[in-house]
Amino acid sequence: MSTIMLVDDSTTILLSISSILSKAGYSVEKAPNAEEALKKFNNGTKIDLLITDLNMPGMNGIELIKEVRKLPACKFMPILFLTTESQQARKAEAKAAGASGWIVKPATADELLNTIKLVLR
Amino acid sequence: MVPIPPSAPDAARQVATELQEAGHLVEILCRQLQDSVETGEKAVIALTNDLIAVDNSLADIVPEMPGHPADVFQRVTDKLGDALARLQFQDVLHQQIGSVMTALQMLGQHSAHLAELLRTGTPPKNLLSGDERLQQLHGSYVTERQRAIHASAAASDAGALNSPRVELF
Repeated sequence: MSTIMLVDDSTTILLSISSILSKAGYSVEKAPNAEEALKKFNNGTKIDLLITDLNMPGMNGIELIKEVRKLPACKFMPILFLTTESQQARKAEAKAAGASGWIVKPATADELLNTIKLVLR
Repeated sequence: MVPIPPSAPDAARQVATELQEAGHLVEILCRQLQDSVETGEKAVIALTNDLIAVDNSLADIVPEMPGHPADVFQRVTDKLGDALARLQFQDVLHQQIGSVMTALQMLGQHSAHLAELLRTGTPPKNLLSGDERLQQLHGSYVTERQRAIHASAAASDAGALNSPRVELF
């Protein structure tokens, strides 16, 4: 079973998306901000995929993935953004920081699960 | 409220007072919006928990039912998944209301600066032009839709909302 780390400052997103992922057979680690997510990564929690929001109070999603990519265990881990933002410049910034893909909110359950299947293949 | 010197011309004093009052109204509106956001968020969290509970109850009940209607269960659970995904609207709405609040706060600040200019006759150091405020507001947007609405309201080219919703790098 793959483990997905879901990072979002919205409680609704954490609850609804983690429920969809759990039903689809994934194990889900949730973090309400980038700092907590980073703590879990640093504590050695094994994660197969990171899904993060972009705009969050404190450290934003791009800063988070730059830190995560420095960890040897996460060098090749897929990273998806799930965000309301769809500006090309931000996508380019995310790609340069090591993101694997970008999903614009609100995403359907199918869009989300199909994309996850693709990046975890 | 800063007292207006009697030396200021009557009209200017009146406008300055009204600008200060407008700033106060903006503050009240921002608080109302913040309250709406918080109330809405609580309601959506409760709704999310209810949907998750229904989904879990179904998973417990259906295997016990005569005939074990697995296909019916799958269809219902898929629909519940779709409903849960739709609740992301709350996060989008929250951020859009956040931008409206930012705009209102800018308007309040602008009113205060104009009131100060009328009172003292000297522009405050941090007085921004309307154009600069609009640019600042544009920079605070988080969705493509907000930018398109801004462009449409400003009568410039709105552009098409044609970015892919899912993109793999």
